[in-house]
Amino acid sequence: MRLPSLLKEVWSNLFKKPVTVKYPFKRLPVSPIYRGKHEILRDRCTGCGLCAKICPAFAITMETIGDKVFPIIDLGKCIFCYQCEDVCPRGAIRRGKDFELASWSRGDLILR
Amino acid sequence: MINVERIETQVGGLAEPKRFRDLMADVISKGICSKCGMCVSSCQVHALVMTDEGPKRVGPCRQCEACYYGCPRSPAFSGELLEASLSSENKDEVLGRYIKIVSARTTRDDVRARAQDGGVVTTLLIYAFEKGLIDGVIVASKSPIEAWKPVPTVALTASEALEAAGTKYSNSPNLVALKDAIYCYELNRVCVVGVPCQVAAARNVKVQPKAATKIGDKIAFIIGLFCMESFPHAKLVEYLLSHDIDISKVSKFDIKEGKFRVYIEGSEALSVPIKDLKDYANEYCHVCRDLTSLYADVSVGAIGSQHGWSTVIIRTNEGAKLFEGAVQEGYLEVKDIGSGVDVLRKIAKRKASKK
Amino acid sequence: MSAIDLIIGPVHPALHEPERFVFKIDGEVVVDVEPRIGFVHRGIEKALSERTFVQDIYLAERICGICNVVHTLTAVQAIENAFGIEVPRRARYLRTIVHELNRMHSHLLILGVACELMGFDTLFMLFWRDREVVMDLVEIITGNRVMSAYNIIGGVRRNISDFEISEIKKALGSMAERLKHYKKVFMEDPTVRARCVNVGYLSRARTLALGAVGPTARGSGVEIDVRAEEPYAAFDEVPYTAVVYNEGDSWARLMVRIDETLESIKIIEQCLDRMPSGPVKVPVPEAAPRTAEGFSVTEAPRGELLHHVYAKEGEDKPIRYRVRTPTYANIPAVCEMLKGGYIADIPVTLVSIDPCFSCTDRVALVDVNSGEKRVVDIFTLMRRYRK
Repeated sequence: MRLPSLLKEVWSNLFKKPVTVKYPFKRLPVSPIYRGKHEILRDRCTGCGLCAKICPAFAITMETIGDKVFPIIDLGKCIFCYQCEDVCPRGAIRRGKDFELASWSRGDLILR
Repeated sequence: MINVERIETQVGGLAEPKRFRDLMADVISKGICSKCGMCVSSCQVHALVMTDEGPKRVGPCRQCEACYYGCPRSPAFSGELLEASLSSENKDEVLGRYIKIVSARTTRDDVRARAQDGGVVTTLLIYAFEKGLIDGVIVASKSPIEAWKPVPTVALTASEALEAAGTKYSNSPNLVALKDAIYCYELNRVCVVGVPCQVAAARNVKVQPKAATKIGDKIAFIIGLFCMESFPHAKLVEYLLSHDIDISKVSKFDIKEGKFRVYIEGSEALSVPIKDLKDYANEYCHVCRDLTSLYADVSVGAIGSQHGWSTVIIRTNEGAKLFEGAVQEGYLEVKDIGSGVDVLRKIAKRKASKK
Repeated sequence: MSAIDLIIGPVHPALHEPERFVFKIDGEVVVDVEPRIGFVHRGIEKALSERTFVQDIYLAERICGICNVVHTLTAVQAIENAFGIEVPRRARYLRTIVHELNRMHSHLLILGVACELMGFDTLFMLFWRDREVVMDLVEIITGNRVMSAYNIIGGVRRNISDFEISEIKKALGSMAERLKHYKKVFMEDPTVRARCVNVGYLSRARTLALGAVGPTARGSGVEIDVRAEEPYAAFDEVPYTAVVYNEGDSWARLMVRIDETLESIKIIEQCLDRMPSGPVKVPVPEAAPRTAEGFSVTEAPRGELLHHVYAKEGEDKPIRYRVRTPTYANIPAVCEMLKGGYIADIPVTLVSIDPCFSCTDRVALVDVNSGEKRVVDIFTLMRRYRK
């Protein structure tokens, strides 16, 4: 019987280091443009609301604080498309690399 | 109900946000829009386009106020805010803030052949490209279809910048090319070359928090030109035809010592007092008080220097680094401006105090 | 002859998405198949007409997670067709690169799943190991491993730099070697041959009659491929040959996918070599500049995908949006393939058409080829559930 052609590879793989990265003890780096948790720069924001108007997932609402208006991003609804970053005329939303966003309560997912 | 209506009720709870129609009412309909193009480039929903009659809205306005606060002629514009952002120590009543004023000219033959005066602007651009200081520049290049009609262009290489050398006396909405540079080409270190209204808009978008500062962040240098007024291209063609000159034959224009001169194949074909063209100038130029691009990093022009040299006003540390670098690397040669600065001051005062 | 009804689904380990199949079996042989789809129906077409064009791109992306790039590509092409916008050349090449990377991802996924269903876990893991490389490339270019969000109306969202180009070339070079090795395995391995050859046979004539698309059709000798017939993106400038096998069985359909992955590598390398310089997008206003219909047909990894949009001048939302996905066209074909086979062949046959029921079920009205009865059944199901 002819040996299955994969057998040689299986044999050599037995002696190679496993490719599994033992997360969470070791983390792989993400790409420089990875779409993770947003950063809202309140000192640049003028409260125009473009981010909220364009959000495909309706995840951004505007909150009035004193005489200013700022965006709140509900990460539970957010799809991390970053249209908000693209459309903001002042560059007040920046992308971040944090993707470890699991939490015990929905309230924790509101980003200011 | 989608986002827009919902958010409008939330944001509109504060002071009524400025929309394009406010820009239309406060600037464009009043006839003071200089068609610099900043509103078109500021709009992040791409609702505006530039036409010969000025900016026009082709999409829904989402009331972000970026066009209104980006406009150098809107009531929101503050010259003091811009001046405060310049790092220069000296201040002159009409020449504005500056670090130093000199005369300079290019050392390169390729630039000299195409230069208007000293070839300083083009040389600075070539230097900046070659040293990797910029990845693109907004220039007015010549239309391949209509002779001498300026077209706002993004030049991506030193040779493309060289192609665009030479002054065009018709207005060019240069800043619409900022959208091409930053949105379409995704450049990050753009140089803006423009006349005083465009320079004011470019500086404004860097320092006015309510303007589209995302664009301002990507502007690396602002090079300003000296400007008295501009002429609509059609009127210029008409004027030349009245003197039996076909604009497509013209090799160069210049305005020096109060004379408007037209050259065909290098030799002078027409020389008239500039006063003769008073009625051909753009109406909206009359409100401008800025001859020397008060808010640029470096301002360049012919007035105050000898033939073949350019007057250079260095206004900021960034401008100084760029200019001194070009001088040190041998791209430019410099000399003292001497009494030329008084000539410059006189003409700048004339523009600043005209009725 | 006693026929027993064997129900597979909606939730079943052999299926990757919920669908319900009622098999009429005699002993071990399948005599008839009655599919019931609609379990993943989410009301997407209605939702698309309630959102702006820009928001629609992201909703279209989520019609199917694996084919997300091709859905966004078809959506933006349809909207650009309606608005009358021409996309810069560089953007078309970049779109093609991510499109083909998505195809590679999808094919590697289904090949792995096919192996898993055959019981060949080793090969499954090896295919998915290579899939990681593709996902990493997508992450470098677009910012996310699966949901790329790369296409927008007027072009693509980001440019790529020389660093990304060199990373892609490096990764693709080693991938081509691996794929050629897997192709050899597929041709020679006794497990694969035993489980796939002559399983789920569909003749060329029947494939054409039933209107199958994509690799399902190309595995039966039908040479149809949107990229060759109606080129879109950069396919009018980059040379492309469709992959066709004549055997008509599950083995052929899976071989088509392996060869297509190799073709994709060639296409991406061509695109990188011929990449024009220039802008990567043009600015497009949010509202339609004219009243027009736009449609776009593309070759999704599973076959021909069509988006049709109707836009009215000055409106920022589409008036009507219609999507026709490839698996919808392949279901009648798979039902015929299953007849006459053994029960044990059901998983392999189903997976050989690469079913994506997420794509299939977003239609408001389900009118499957077997008639109204099925619609009634869906409503009956709903009524029963409500009680």
